[in-house]
Amino acid sequence: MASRPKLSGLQKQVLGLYRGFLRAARSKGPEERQRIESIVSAEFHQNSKNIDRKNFLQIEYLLRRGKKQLDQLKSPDTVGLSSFTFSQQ
Amino acid sequence: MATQRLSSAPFVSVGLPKKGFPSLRSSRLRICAAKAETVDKVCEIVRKQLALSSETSLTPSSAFADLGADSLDTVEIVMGLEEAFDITVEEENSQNITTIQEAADLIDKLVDKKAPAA
Amino acid sequence: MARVLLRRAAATAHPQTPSLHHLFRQLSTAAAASAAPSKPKTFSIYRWDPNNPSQPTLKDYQIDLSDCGPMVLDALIKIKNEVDPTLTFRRSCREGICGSCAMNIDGANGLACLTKIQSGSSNTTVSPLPHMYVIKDLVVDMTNFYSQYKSIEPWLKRKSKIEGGKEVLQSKKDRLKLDGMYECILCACCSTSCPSYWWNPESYLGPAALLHAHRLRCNRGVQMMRFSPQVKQWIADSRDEYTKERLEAINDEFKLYRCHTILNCARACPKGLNPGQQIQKIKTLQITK
Repeated sequence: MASRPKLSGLQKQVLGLYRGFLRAARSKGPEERQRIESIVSAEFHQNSKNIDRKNFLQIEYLLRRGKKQLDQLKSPDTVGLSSFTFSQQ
Repeated sequence: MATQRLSSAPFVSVGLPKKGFPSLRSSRLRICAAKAETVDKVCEIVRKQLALSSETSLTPSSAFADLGADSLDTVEIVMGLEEAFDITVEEENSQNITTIQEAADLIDKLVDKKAPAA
Repeated sequence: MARVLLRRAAATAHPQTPSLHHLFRQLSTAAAASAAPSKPKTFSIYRWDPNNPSQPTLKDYQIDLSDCGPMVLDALIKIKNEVDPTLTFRRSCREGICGSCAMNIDGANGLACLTKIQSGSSNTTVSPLPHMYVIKDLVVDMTNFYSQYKSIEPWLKRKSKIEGGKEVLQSKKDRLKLDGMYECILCACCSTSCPSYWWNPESYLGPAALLHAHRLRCNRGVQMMRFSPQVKQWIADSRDEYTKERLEAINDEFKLYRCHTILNCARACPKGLNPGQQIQKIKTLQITK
């Protein structure tokens, strides 16, 4: 760990988005909060592993989608978050 | 700022407000800027967030990355610290935190900043 | 169709019988001649799937125009139904009133449901609206476009109460002033054809939003008829005050004055409107107000 790797702008945006989600989760009920945190954390960690770091097109797409979802989550009317998985085929 | 810091952190005796951060890599050789209990609490939170076993030894110089944390985990740690110490870490600052020592230093700074206002 | 029926008839008959077999042959050649000859046409369609890490591509689909409606949307629906169900696009009314199927067809923005398929043999290229973020295939992210529309507050704002608490009446003459504006269906063909909007999509409101801003000014500026039990009289509507505020709100180097009268908007508009002209009127009002 000679020097920490410098984060790219895109990486900073992703981390900022993640932070935003965790912040928004705090404003929800304790049970929902835990659910939101586990869903969001799973999604970010999964994508961080599965998506090629050079695939800007897809990362930017996911960032835009995430921002939109975060805006919805921030609304006090939104009480929770759920996700479903589907297999392509 | 300096006086506030002195009054609330009496352990600090050397290396006080030099401009810029002193090198944190050789923390063995210098006196900790942050309070011992802060460091302990940070260690505890990091241990919990990263689900480390009790055998893993944590020292102030432990880097999150060396403990197996990626940048996302680091965000989680910082968020956990925010709640534990009831502070808000700015985005720019949170990206500079990579070791327990750095985290503890920043926390003490922020807690001190908050104290007079309260 | 005729062919299918014939085949069925032949199947129920005895295929061994030479005379019937012969008859069938004759009939089927006759049917082939009477049915419209197949007219193959290739569509090159922009494909991108966010769940697939590969780059966007143009994919070719060949369909038979003799068995397809006349519009590009018909072709897209045919492709989705018969060739590739994963092809994704927005559509709803199929008659040019909903604005869902706005896309770029052979380099020009338009509604797929109002654009005729070119009969020539060359490929027709279909891609999403230019300079918009793609969500999937031909579906683009309209968030920014809608939030700009929202920013001009596209609703009637009144300070005075409406007598009777019902409709706000308008004279025929004042209503006519809204022609050329109320028809807008917010399909975004104009805004996304505007080079100025391409470079400043966040700060320049774009022709669609500005056209609506002007419409509201007209609405706001109209003289209103109010009925009282005894007298029927015209009075100036207090909404005039909002006209001023509205003009002030868009009097901005970027929001309004990024329009350089390129007039791609007028060329692109599938409803035949001229947003550029309306923007020009706003600019005139900014000077004369």
